[in-house]
Amino acid sequence: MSDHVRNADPDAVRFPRAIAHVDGDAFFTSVEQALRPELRGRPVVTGAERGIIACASYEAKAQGVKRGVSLRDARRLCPDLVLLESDYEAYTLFSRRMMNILRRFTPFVEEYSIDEGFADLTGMRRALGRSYGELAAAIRDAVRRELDITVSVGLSTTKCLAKIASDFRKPNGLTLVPQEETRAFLEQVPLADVWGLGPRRVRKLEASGLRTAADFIARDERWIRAMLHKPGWDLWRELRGEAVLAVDTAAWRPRHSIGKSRTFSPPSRDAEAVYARLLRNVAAAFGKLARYDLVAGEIRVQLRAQDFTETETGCRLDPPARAAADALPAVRALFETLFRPGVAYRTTGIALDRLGDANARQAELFEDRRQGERREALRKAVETIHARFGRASVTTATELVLNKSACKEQPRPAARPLRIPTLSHVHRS
Amino acid sequence: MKVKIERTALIAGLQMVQNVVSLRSTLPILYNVLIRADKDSLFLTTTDLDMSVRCQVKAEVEKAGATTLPARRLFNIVRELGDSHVELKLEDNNSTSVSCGSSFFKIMGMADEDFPPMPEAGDSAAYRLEQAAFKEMLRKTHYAASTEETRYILNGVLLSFREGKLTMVATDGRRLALVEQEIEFPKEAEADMVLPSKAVNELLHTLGGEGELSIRAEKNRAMFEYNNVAMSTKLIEGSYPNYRQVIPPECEERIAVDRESLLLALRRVSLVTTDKSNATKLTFAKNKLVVTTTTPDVGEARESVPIKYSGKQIAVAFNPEYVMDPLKNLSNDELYFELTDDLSPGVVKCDMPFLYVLMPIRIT
Repeated sequence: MSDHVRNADPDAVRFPRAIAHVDGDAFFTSVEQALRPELRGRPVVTGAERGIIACASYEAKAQGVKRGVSLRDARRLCPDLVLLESDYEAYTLFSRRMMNILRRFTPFVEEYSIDEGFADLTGMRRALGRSYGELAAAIRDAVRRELDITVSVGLSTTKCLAKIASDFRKPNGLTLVPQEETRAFLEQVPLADVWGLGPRRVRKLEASGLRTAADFIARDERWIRAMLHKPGWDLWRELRGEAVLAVDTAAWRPRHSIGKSRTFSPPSRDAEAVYARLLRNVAAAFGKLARYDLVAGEIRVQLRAQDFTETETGCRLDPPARAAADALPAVRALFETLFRPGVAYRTTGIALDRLGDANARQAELFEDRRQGERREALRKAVETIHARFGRASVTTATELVLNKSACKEQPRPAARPLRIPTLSHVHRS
Repeated sequence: MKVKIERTALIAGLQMVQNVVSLRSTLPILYNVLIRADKDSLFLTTTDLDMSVRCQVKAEVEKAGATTLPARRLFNIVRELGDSHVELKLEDNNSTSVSCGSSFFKIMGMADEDFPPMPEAGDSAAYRLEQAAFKEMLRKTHYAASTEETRYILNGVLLSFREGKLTMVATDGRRLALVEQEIEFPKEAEADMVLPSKAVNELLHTLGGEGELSIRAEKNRAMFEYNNVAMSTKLIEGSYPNYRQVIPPECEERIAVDRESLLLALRRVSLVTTDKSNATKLTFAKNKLVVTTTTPDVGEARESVPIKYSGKQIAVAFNPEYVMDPLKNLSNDELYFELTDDLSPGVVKCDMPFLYVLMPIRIT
């Protein structure tokens, strides 16, 4: 697709505020294709581990395979479909690198989700010596060049407009909507494509004769407020170019709970194998905990048997745990109260609760300071290795039984080398 | 059993014992209060198996005897009765009639033989103290005990009778309260015991302001006797951590602070803290203590308390609850903070043998 920079002349009047929305194109499968060049140009889907399609590549979409289609229908539609397990660790790494690229252009970056972010570029035009349109294009090109995935960028005067704009041309699109072109742009946008309007509200508005987003902003303010109340009114103002929603730079953090569970086949009666699978989830959950700089004050373990009966138990972690190693004795004890010999298990799960800030740690009276420091050094070392080489690089010895076991599971995606541009490379440019 | 008793005396007696009654138990008789009439008294006893309380109340006993009745129900009935005297009479099938003026009740109970007997004190030596002093010691320490089941040994208050004094200690592993009092007891009676929090709360609830208290300890139990009450409780078994080693031997700065002013400042500032984010910073600067807190997604607060101070500026973060607890339970006008830096434990003292160590929140 070609770029649609309508007017390269940077102009403070055209963009009283300049907000870019950067949206990964078929993000999960793009990451897979970036990591495995042999998958390029082939129809690929992720989500095999749950039996549903989480993300479909553009090649798959072209053959009618998209999110929500059952795996059986997908195979029928597309016999040479490549089915992959989700590798959230790799997606998260790519996500973080993508956000870091955005931060080279402005400090005001909102990580809206794993594959999309907002960047408030207002005022950066002069500092960086380029027009807003050029900056948006530079973000798009930098992501493609450095991460080998494509993104679509929308640039406009508010978050809502930018979000609609990034969706306007995909993949690898660039859509600029300056202030004076807002109305003309929104005439091409059906109500259903407006961010923040759900199907019910769309039906309600269509019943009043509205068809496009332009019809929506043409309505009187009072009419909108009576019809859709405060959220609808905010949206109305945003679409008219009045920035109501701020770009929220606070890093997103899980507030209440972090959970990891995984189903495996065939089900297993082997206590050590089931325990090893549980530990894999423990490692994943604590990996996530570490990424958000949190500690957990409570842990819960779930086991689901082949007949779908589920058992769960939990306990407090006191002091709160920051690394998986701190919680292992508790996990073992909880597992032993749940596990019944002779029962075949198919799913293990872990949940971390009572999350707290790891950077404000309540010191303990009776702790051995030297031992604490050594444990902290170990935790940091393991975290560094995980960040660099993936979580499979350092695991508990218990988890090793899974590599030898006869379970018919696909090789762990994280076990392959991640050829991701290094951080130093990212910082250099 | 047939007995006549003043209604207010019966209410007072039931109030003394009813906290111990189980709210949830697999043993139905534990919901009941044991009532025994003998000579000129009515003895009311409750138990949750870990702990038993017995209260003696004056009564006109026409016929001695005993039974058990549902404690809460009996208390609720007696509380609502209109006349000044109540008559209790054991009828057939473990039922008891309660008569008072124009009111008549018949309540189903259970046989007294099934009630778990209260362990009686042997002839071991007793420690003797003033009730009021002992209650005050409990009040100044009990809040620091842990409520985490994983720290079983810390779920109570340590009573250490050594070297001619009673040292009382409570800690949850993050802060520690200690208070001492000289008392007389023979050298061979030196002992340590950890009193469970439930017993501590019961004592705080029932100890009076006057009179003596006697404490006897035997193996894993302790017996308390005061006024018309006898209480027996299991002790927490295990070894209490070496609390002496966590008391900082010295500090760099000692700062006097007005207790009431700091408590009010902390109360207000803590209104913007959450469970997840509660670090409250105390900055001791020249003649001014600034209390601040910042909670993401909630807001921030700042309070300033005048102090007399000219030492180095120290900023240290604490859980505000941990600072407020001793402030609420002490009555001195002035307290002393002993501090070194933002990583070292802080100590609160006052003009009596009291000490409170609290660990900071280390912010990185």
